[in-house]
Amino acid sequence: MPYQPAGLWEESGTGKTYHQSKGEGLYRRSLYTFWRRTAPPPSMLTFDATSRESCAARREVTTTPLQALVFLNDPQYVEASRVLAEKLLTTHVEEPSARWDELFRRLISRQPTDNERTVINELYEEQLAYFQTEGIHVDEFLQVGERPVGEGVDRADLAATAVVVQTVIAYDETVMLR
Amino acid sequence: MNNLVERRHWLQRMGLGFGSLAASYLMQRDELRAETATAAGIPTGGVINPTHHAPKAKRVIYLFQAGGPSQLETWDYKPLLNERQGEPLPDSVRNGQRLTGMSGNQAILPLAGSMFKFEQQGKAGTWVSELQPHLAKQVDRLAVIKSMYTEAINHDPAITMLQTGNQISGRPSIGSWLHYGLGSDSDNLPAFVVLITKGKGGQPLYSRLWGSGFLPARYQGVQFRSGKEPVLYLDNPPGISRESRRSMLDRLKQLHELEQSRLADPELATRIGQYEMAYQMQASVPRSG
Repeated sequence: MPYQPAGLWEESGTGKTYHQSKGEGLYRRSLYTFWRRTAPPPSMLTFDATSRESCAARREVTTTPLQALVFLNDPQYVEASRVLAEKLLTTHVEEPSARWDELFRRLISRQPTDNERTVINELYEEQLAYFQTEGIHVDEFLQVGERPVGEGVDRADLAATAVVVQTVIAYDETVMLR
Repeated sequence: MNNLVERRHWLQRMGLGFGSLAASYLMQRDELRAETATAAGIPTGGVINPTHHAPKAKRVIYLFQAGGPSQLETWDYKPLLNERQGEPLPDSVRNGQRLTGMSGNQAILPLAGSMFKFEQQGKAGTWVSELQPHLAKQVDRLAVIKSMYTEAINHDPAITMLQTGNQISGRPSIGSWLHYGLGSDSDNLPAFVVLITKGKGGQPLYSRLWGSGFLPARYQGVQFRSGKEPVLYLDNPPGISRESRRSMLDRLKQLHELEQSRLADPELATRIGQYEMAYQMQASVPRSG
C-alpha cells in the first residue's frame, strides 16, 4: 500500500478507507501494489497501466502533463529522489561531479556527456543557492516521505542534490526507450 | 514467443495487404500532427480536422445523475401506468427479459406509476413533474430526449453503456472521444475534466466511466477534486517554490534539447511541451481554498 492522496477510495464510493503501509510495506515493488478496480492507484493509471477490466493486447505509450506532475510532486518520487541523493552524497562527499556520474550510471546506464554535465552542475548550483538562503525550505522539502534523513548530512546539499535526482528521473531518456 | 508474435504480425500484414499499411500510416500521421501542434503551442486540432460543420458550442457540460430520480418521476409522463397501478406486468411488455437480483424473488411484478403529478409546461407543452418547479419555468429552453435506453438490467452495465456506448467496459468514454475527435483549444487546462460528488454513498463510480478505453491515456478525463489540490499531484512538494521549479524545468528542457539534437524524435518535442503544460496548469487550475 504505497503513498496515495487521501480520500480517493471514499470519493469513489467504495465504502472502504485506504490505509497506507508503514515501514517495509511502503516500499514494496509496485508489482505487489493492492489494486481496487473501482479506484486504481492513480499514479499507475497516469502512466498507462491498463484498468484490468478487459484484455489489452498492447500497452499504450503516452506523454501527458499529469505524468510530469507525478514525477515532480508525488511523494513516492520525491522521497525516492531524496534517498538516492543521500546515497550519492555520502559516497561522494567532496566531489559533486562524481555524484552525477553515478546518478547517470544508475538511472540511464551511461556517463553524462560534457554538455549534460554543464547543465546538471548549473542546476545543482542554482538549487544549492536556493536552499542555502532559505533554510526553512530545506526542512519542509526533506520531510516529504517517511524515511528519515541520516545524521550528519549537509541538509541544504542533500535538498539540492535531491532536486537534481528528480530532474534526471523526469528526464526522457530515463523513462523512455527510444 | 517473440518469433511467434513477429510471424503473426507478418502474416497479418501480408493478409491485409496495403490497406492495413495505409491505415496505420494514416493513424501515425494524425497522431504526429496532433503531437506537433501541441509542441508548437498552437491550439491542437483533433483527428476530425476541419470539423464537418461550423461549431457553435464552445464546451459541453454533461451532468450524469447516478442514483438521481428516475425518468418516470421527472420527465417521462406515463398516465397508463398510473391507471393500471398494481396490475401484474403483462408478458407482452416483459417479453421474457431477465430479472435483477433485487426483483427476481418477488411473487408478483406489479406495475407502479409515478408518485408525483405531471403538468404540461411552457409554450411547447412539455410534460414536467411537480418535482421540478423551477426547471418547469425554463422548459422552453431545454431539449428533452426520451428515446435513449439500455438493455442492461443493472446499474453498472447501464451506466457503462451510457458513458461508453457499450455495456461491457473497455471502450472510450464520451469525453475521451470528444477530446480525440475535436482536440482542445486550451494549452494550460485539460480538455476533459471530471467532477464527482463526494461522500454521498450510493453507487460506486468507476474510473472507467471517464476512462480512455483503447485510446491513449492522454484522452482520459482528468478528475478535479474539491479541496485545495483539485488535480492529483498538482502542488509542488513543500519547500519547493514556483521559482525553484521554474529553474529546474528550464534545466530539464536543456537536457531534453541535448537529447533532441541526437535523436530528432517528434515524441520528445511532445514531452517538452507536456512538462511546460504541467507548469502552466499549476498556475491556472482554479482552487477552492
